Amino acid sequence: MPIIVNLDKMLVLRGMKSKELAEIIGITTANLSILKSGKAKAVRFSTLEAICKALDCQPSDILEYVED
Amino acid sequence: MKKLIILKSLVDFIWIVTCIPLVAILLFFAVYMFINPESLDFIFNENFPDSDKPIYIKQLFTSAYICLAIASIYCLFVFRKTLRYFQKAKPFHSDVIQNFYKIGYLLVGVGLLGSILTFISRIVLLGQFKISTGLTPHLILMCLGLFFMILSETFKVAKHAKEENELTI
Repeated sequence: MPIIVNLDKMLVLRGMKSKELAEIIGITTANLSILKSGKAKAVRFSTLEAICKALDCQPSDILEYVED
Repeated sequence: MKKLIILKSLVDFIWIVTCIPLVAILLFFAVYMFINPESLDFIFNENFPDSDKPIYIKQLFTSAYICLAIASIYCLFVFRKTLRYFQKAKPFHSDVIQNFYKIGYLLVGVGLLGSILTFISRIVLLGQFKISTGLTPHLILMCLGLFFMILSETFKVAKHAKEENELTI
């Protein structure tokens, strides 16, 4: 998929663990893992908003388009 | 879910009471009509009273009808198997989609071949050129088969939508 999820990088930059982020945004660690691994087919705006709020970043910091 | 239980019970009842003995009878008759060809008379004298065709033609038609009957019974067997997935709350399992397609394919085949066979048997055994129009059992079978094929496609789309929904975070 040409959309890359850079959630790992942002978590390292903010010094936050996946479990903590999952608790803050209210999703399971399993779902966060799906999102991080790029297996997710879609991301809800509400989830994206919660991630951006928790990590104090912009959607473009998390999502990146790379041509195949 | 009560409706599913009622449907499964009915299909099981039909399967045990009708289909299992019918398969045995059909298989027995498929062999017996070659051992004792006169046994065919009680079918042909009733449906084709003026038919005085050679016995091998009657055997050929009977064999074809037996094949169609067994295919129809197999459809019910597959349908019964599919209902088990519904009971296990797995309606979007790939086997369900495949089974629906298989049932549809078979029912269309049985309907089409049945109508062709009936048409040919009338010509060969009675010398009548007769085309049945309107609501015939063969036509209903073909419609039912096509409905099952559409159902299979619909389930395929639904499965895809379900998977996408599950992978939406």
